[in-house]
Amino acid sequence: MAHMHKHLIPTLAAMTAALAISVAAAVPSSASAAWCWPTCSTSGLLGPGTSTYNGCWNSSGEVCSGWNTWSANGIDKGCYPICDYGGYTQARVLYGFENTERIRGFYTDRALATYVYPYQLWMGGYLRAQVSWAPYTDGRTSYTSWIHVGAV
Amino acid sequence: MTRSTTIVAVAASAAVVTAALLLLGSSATGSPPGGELAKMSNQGEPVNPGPGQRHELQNVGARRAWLLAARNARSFYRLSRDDGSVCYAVNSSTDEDRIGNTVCPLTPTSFPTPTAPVLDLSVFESTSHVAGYFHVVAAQGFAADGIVAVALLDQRGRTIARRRAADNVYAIDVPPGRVATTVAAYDADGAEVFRVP
Repeated sequence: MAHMHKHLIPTLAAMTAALAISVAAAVPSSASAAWCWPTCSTSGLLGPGTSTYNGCWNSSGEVCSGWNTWSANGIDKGCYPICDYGGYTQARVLYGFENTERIRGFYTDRALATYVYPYQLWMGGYLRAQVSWAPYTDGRTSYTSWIHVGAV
Repeated sequence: MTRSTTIVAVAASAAVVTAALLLLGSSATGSPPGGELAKMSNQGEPVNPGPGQRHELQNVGARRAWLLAARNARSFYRLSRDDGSVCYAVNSSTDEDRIGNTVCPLTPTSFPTPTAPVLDLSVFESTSHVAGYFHVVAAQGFAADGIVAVALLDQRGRTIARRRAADNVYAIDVPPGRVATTVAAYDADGAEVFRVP
């Protein structure tokens, strides 16, 4: 056990540092981000029961910002709970924006960093930045996503 | 040396050479592992970015951009970051001084691969609060050399639009009056090798 801890702690420290670096590079920085989830320096698990409890399009399985004239929404999706050489995680999300009439975005189940602009989704005005858990419908188990979200 | 010993020795040598080639990441033909589904031949043309494009490049830590293709009023870019990683972007707006929605795979080898031969950036929408009730607004994305066509399918799986993938990109508008729910990609044999969602 002590042997395992000897290696586990440095490994976890390295993974945490790597995650922090990748998060910082991928999404709006803590200083500039107007909204982050779960915080501006951490990632969290997004699954069917996750909610920000602020009236998102879906009452659960979604995190969303408050209403604003957002200019960008960024996500950093980690290699979790599985990750092959192509970054496949078996944990799908839909990320983008929503208003009172519609929710729009892109699907991904890969570990990656993205930046999405409202005008590229043909949306504008007061919006919520959002990321939703998007379960598979083909029989595959849908895992929760390890993800960091930031909008400016 | 007996004949059987010679055969074993030759077989062992071949195995060692094959393993070495695989470790080097290429086959004897020079193709990457996974063949055409793991390769993008189009390197694009370098872009001299405008102020708006420079700002969007900075957002993802990228400095240089190459235009892979312009298709269906969209521009498709490959971006490079200082750390050597690669991002892909689609500008679907009428403002040419944009890079657009950007995706940066985990590593340069994360895309394309035989299991991820498509980097789809299709826009999906729902106007219903019923979970999972999404349809395609516009299909667009990047595809490996081995992807020859991309199609929009309706809820019953019927093809409602199909386009050739060329220059490693694709863009399909949903035909008026039709509802597409799936984007599917096909190889040269006509086999479906990727679909979203």
